[in-house]
Amino acid sequence: MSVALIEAQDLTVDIETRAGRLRPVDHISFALRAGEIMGLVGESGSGKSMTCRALMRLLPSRQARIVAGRVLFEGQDIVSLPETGMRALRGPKMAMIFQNPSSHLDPVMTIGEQITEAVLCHERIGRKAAHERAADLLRQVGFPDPVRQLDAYAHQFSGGMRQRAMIAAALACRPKLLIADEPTTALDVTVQAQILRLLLDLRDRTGLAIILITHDLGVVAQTCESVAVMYAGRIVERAKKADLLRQPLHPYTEALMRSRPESVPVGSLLPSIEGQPPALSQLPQGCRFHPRCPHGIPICRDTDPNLTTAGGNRASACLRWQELYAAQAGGRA
Amino acid sequence: MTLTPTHRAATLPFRLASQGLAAPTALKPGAAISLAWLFFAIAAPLIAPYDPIAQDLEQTLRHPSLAHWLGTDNFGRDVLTRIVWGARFDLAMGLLGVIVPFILGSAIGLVAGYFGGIVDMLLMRLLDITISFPFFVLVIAIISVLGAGLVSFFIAVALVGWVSYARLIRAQTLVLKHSDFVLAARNLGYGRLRIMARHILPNAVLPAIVFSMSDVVLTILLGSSLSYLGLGVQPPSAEWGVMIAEGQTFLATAWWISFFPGLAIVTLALGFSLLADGLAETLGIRE
Repeated sequence: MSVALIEAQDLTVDIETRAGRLRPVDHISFALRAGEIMGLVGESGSGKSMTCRALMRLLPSRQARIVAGRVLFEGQDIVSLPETGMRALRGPKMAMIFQNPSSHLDPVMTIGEQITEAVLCHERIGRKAAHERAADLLRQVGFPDPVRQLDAYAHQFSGGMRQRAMIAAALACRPKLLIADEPTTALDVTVQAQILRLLLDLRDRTGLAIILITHDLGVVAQTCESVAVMYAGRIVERAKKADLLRQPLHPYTEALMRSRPESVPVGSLLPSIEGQPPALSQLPQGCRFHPRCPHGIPICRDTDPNLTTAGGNRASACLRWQELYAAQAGGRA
Repeated sequence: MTLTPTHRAATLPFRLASQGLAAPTALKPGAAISLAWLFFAIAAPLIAPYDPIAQDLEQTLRHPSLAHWLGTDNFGRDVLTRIVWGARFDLAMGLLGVIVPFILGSAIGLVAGYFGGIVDMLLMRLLDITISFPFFVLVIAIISVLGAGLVSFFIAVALVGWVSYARLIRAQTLVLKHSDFVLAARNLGYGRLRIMARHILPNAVLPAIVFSMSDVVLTILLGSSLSYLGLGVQPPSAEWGVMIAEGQTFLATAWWISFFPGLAIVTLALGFSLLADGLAETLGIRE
């Protein structure tokens, strides 16, 4: 197996609050090769975004801290890196794009200024070369008239164009890893498909590795190679996309897949997962999913399951995965 | 339901009233008056008919006439000439007296808001101390320590005037530092200084600019008041406050010596006030 570009090992983030210590990211482990696209799936509040902010070392407040685990980027542990060293990585090595491109672009700077600034900040090249790079980037992300559009402001673009502009700015210093935090959620469906195709295309051409945060399994099906499903701060299932979509090995993944619009006949009511994800301050005893789990048995209430290897390249954090799914998955594993 | 003529009649005055207060009406005359004074100040040597300082003791206390449009003072100096030259002092006091505190206050507000914590705490306590003194008292106290004069005036105004800008910029910074585009900027590995100067400041500066326009008015009034009291520009320099003070003793016999400089102060202040109002409205900011 090739060396991982980025590897998280037991990454754990704590938030100190007046009410006590919360753990939005709880011993997360995964690895990503160059050119791989991994989907990070889960409901709102499951810790997907927090995980990625931790990877960038840009946690939202001083109260949030990485308390355990390592993140190896090209073999180097970046959790212990000083802030200046980390700053040199953001941009040229890893970059992030966000759900809402409108608010993530500076309203008083032109798109061109924002892209060239990123280039000039990290590389010793002239203003003119940076300008050409910016135009080239805009062309790569699908702007029809990049030289003129460099002088436009974010408010002059449509949502899809803004997302493309943000991708261009993120890719300005040719990073190796792109973290995309729900990049298509705020866009309409046709534009969504364009942006996903753009990401795939960039991966093919530049060998970019992408962590794609989403709550849409349809997006995962179109783009990712591997998937990690998060629930209440933990990874509950990890698998290759094809395996996961064929047969999930965790009741939560199963329930997520049942809630997809494509999974039910047209006109019938979409099934939903009963109840709410638990608040971080009131995590249930035992398996965190058991209050909502259709397969829950008494042991689930007492035993906190670990993420265990379930044959091949996959892992499940369900105590009963073998008896529930072994028949179907057995052949593969 | 259709709109009857009476309905239309009832709404029309409201619409006229709201349009009558709209930006361009205040902006244009304000800009015109301010620019006119700016022109007088710059072109003073070319347009002023006499020398502002040289005395002509044969022409003292003359009424306004064709030779001396606004009359002469007790030393025979032409009042119009002195007013035109005086515009230089008063505009310089108003503009420089705002620019320096603007820069100083913005820097302090930016640092306090962005860094937060102990830095913010210390700077804000310094601000509290500064505003706990009455504005005029503190300015006069600083000037009395440094000695009367224009340089002392600028130092005093900078030391006292920064607080308003620091508060405005800090308030904006507190909001903007959590904004998405600042997060995006941090994501690209930008340092603190770059984020503050290039991303937060340009987005935070607008309310401060609008405030600075009305601050110019107050600073002009402050400057001429202090000069009137003998703490600012010193005689025989032609400054409006100085002129009013000098003409005071002749108010009963030669009213024009004090009256016209006073009128000049009023028009200049009015011009900047209108400009500030118009600008605030055009930019959609209300103080």
